[in-house]
This record gives sequence, C-alpha cells and structure tokens, in this order.
Amino acid sequence: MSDVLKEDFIERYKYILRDEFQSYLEKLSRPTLPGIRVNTLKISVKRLGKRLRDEDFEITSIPWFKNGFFVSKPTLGLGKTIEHALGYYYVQDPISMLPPIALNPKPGESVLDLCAAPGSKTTQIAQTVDNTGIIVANDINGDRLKALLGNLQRCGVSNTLVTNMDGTLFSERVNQNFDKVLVDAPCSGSGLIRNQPRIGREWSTSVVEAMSGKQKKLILSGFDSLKVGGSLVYSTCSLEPEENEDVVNHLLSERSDSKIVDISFKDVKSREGLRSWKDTIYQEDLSKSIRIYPQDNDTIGFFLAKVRRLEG
Amino acid sequence: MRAKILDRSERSRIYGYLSDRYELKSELDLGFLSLRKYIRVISKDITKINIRDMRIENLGLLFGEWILDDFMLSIEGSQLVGPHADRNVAELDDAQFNTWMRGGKLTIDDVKSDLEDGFVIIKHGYDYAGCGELSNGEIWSSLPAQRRID
Repeated sequence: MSDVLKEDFIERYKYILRDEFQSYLEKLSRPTLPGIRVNTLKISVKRLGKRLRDEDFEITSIPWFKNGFFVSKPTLGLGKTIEHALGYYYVQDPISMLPPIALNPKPGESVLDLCAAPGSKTTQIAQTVDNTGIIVANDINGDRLKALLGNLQRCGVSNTLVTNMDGTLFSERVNQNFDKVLVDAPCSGSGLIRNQPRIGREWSTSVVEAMSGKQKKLILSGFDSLKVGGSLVYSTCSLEPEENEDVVNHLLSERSDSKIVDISFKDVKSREGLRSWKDTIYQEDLSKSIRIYPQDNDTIGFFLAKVRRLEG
Repeated sequence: MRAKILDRSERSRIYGYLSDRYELKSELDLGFLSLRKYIRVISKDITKINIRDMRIENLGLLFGEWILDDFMLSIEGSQLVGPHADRNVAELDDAQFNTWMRGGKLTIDDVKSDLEDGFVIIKHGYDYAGCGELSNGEIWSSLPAQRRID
C-alpha cells in the first residue's frame, strides 16, 4: 500500500501514529468487512438474522451496535437482495453507525442532520426514535438528495423533512433550534483508504485545507441551530487534524457557550483527540474527542466529537 | 412545495377506502398530508417545528396515490396496511414472489381465487411488497424500477 501513498501523507502519519505506523499501513492494504444495519422500523434483528443465515449469509453481530452485522459472505451484491429492496437493512460501514449512537436522540425530539445524503445516519436516527419527533435532513448536493430520498422511502421513514440548502448558511436562513444536531461533514475521506485506495493516491494538503475551511463553517452553522441544552455531534471519515480537532477547536473558540463533552462506546477501541498539530495547541478539552484508527477495531478510520450548548 | 395536512374528511376518505377494500381488522392511526397527487405519512410532531424559510424538497413517507376512485399503496403503504388487511391480499409462493420482485406480472389462477378486480396487496410470508392491479385475471406490477431486483 505504501507505494500508492504520497510521501507527505506517509510522513504525516508516521508523525501522528509513531510506532503504530506499520500496523496502520498493514491494515490499509486489506479492505474492511462490509456491514449492514437492521432497519428495526420494519423487521427485528432476530428475524432478519435468521432469514439471512437461512439464505447462507455469514453474519456476525457488531459488538458496539446491537442492530448491526458484519457480513463476511456475500461481500458483494448486498444492495441487490429482496431484503434490501424491501428496506429491511441498510448497507453501512459498522464504524459509521457511531455518530447517531453518540447523538442519542430521544423519541419526540427535533433533530437536524446538516449533511444528510445519502441517508445512513438519518435512517438510523429515525429508527432510534421509532419514527417520532422530526428530523430535518439537509444536503446541498441535489444529485445526492435523490439517494437520500430513495433511502428514506425504502427504510419507511416518516418523521423526516428533506431540505436542499447550503448547510453553512442553515442557521442564518432558518429560524428554528433543534434538540440535537448531527454534522457528519463532507471530508477528504482519508479514513476510507482501505476500501478506496484512490483516496490515498489523490490525497493532498490543499484538499484537506479546503475541506477544513468548509467544515468550520458547517460546525458553526450546526451549533447555532441548537437549542440551549442541546447537543451536537461532529464526525468525519477523515483522520486529518485539520478536518477534525482543528474544526472543533474553532467552534470552542468562536462560541463561548459551547462545551465539548465525553463520549465513549462499549466495545470500541478509540484514542483521545490530538492536543496539538503543527503550530497550534488545541484547547485541553479536545482530548474528549475521539479518533478511531483502522488498526483499532479493523474498520475504517473515523473521528467524533460531541459538543453541548450551554446557557448563554 | 405545496403540502397540505389532510383534514378529517380527507383522512376519512382514505380510511374508508382501505376499510372497504381490505377489510381492515384494526384502525390505523397515521398523520397524512397531500403533496401534488400523492398521499404521504408524516410524524404528527411536524407541527412542533417552524418550517418557514426552509427550502423543502420532500417530507414524510410516500403512502400511496389516488387513481380516480381507487387508491394505490406504495410498498411502504402496503407494509403499514397489509398486517391489518383481511381481504384482497394476494399471497404468493416463492416463485411468484421472485417474479413479482423482478417486475413481472402474475396470473390470478396461480395466486388465489377470491381476489376482486382492482388493487390487491402483495404478500409473501412476512413480506408485504406493494400492490398490483388485478384485471382480466392478471396482476400487473406497480413496483418501481429502483425497487426491483435483477
């Protein structure tokens, strides 16, 4: 794998990972097992599990999410089964099931999913609250909205309103504050290199920096759409500090009523967020954000942070 | 986008049709709205948020649509109504269900004899998979192309 990665990428990850760099590199050369999330709006985990095993699927439970399975056979064509067509499951990377768990939406609450397409987290949130409350699922990208709309329908989601707005301007344009906000931001995708080696070949600091600028606007807009006492989860499938700790640090600096809070997941190995990068020393609380490396749980790489809005 | 929450008489029209056609064993309690020619199901909590200023693309779940005086359920509509239905439900065997999921039409002689012309709900074991129109001894598929399997 190292032969397709750029030198500055390798240097960067040697610096971040130090003596773990080799184990990281080894993981990059092997794709992850696909995962599916059982859509409990339509079928129970037990029923779907039995049905898939009867059809010779090889599935194992995901330790950190009771409604998910790793699929070791078949690994292709998961989106072409009758069960998929009927909306009984959603093909989703197992680690990307974490943001809605961290968000912890309650029945009846209002939720904003600021960058929602193609809908994996929106549909997971909907099943978590059993189709109650209201989710506003927003995305700026019109083409990706079609996938979002299709997935919401297929999964039987009836508590969602889909908007097509620039997420960075959402709080300015819309006079509504939400109990929970998810900012699962568009990113360079460097956590996905295992499954998409192209990302490693095309990686560049200029893309990372451009993403970072946009993500900082998104997180502020998401935070400004929160009610007092509400919570925001920020996540990416990137492992670049500029797209993660730097973005959350920007929010904490710009909004005095924001406070980062602890998140932890049962049976997920994770690391504390970085405290510094290049010339920047981040706020102490950034250690409450979490990084998940491919070698930690044999998954893609991921980043999450949870922020609460305090009384002004 | 001109969506409208259905009033009591409009809801009664839908429930009345579904009760007559499918002889529902129990009452449904769904929030409905109309959007263009479609009837959608929406969480009743929608009234809790201010949707003014939002550029809305869509909302809720497609439940079905009126076609003259008949009502065609979507797949999800059939999954909501099907478990309550006692009549005009076509129960398919494995081969018929495979045909249906590939967008094929079915012949009534192979399915069940007490179905009435018009829309019938498609059932296979636990699965409800939309509805088809029974006419001249055949059930014509209304399964959207993107929901069919190859």
